[in-house]
Amino acid sequence: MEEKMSIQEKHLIISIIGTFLSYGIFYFYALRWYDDGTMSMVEEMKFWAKGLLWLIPIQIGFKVIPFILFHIIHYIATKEKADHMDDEFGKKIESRGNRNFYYVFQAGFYGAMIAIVYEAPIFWIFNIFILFGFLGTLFMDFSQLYFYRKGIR
Amino acid sequence: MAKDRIENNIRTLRFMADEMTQQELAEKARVSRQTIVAIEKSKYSPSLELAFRIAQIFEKPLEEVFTFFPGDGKRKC
Repeated sequence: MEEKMSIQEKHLIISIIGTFLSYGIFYFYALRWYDDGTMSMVEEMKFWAKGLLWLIPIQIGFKVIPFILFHIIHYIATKEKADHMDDEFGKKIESRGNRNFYYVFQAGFYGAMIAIVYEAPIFWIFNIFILFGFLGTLFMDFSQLYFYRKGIR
Repeated sequence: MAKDRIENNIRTLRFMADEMTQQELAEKARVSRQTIVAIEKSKYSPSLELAFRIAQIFEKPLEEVFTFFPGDGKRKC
């Protein structure tokens, strides 16, 4: 019989949707405002650095607020409390998820360093960081989903 | 090489304790229901602290709740 989805798994699904939405919105505006023809190197670096900083409030908006709304709606619908989500099992899964994020992000970091060595355009250096940040976040959430389903021994 | 594994009688003990629900056990053990589900299905080996806490809830010694099977397949306790 198919197992009912736990509150932790629903939480991760919201996080995955939030990741797609926040990066989608970020690229929607970043690529509209990006003008590679006129920007100097310093201006371009500033543009992408600002973009990276903007990604923080965007992610808060698309992750934290939906989490709060989800918990309110979930409690009204099921009367199930979301207590002890950060117990030892949850923490272990979270730490494995974080480890997986750092593996991917580290690969991106080295990728960006290689791009600098080969004098790749600023666009690619920053976008390697952003892309691997995105992939790392997805890998973190999907691996946590996997561990909630398969367990940790 | 085969891995060590820990099995448990939590499902049976819950049944014998007036059909205690997973949620009730989770609340008493101060963990999430998902953690109890994972332990019951042997998908997660709890910490020693949590294992003792669960045994205490059922008023049983630890070895009556959890059984350790080392990698060589011989039951230890």
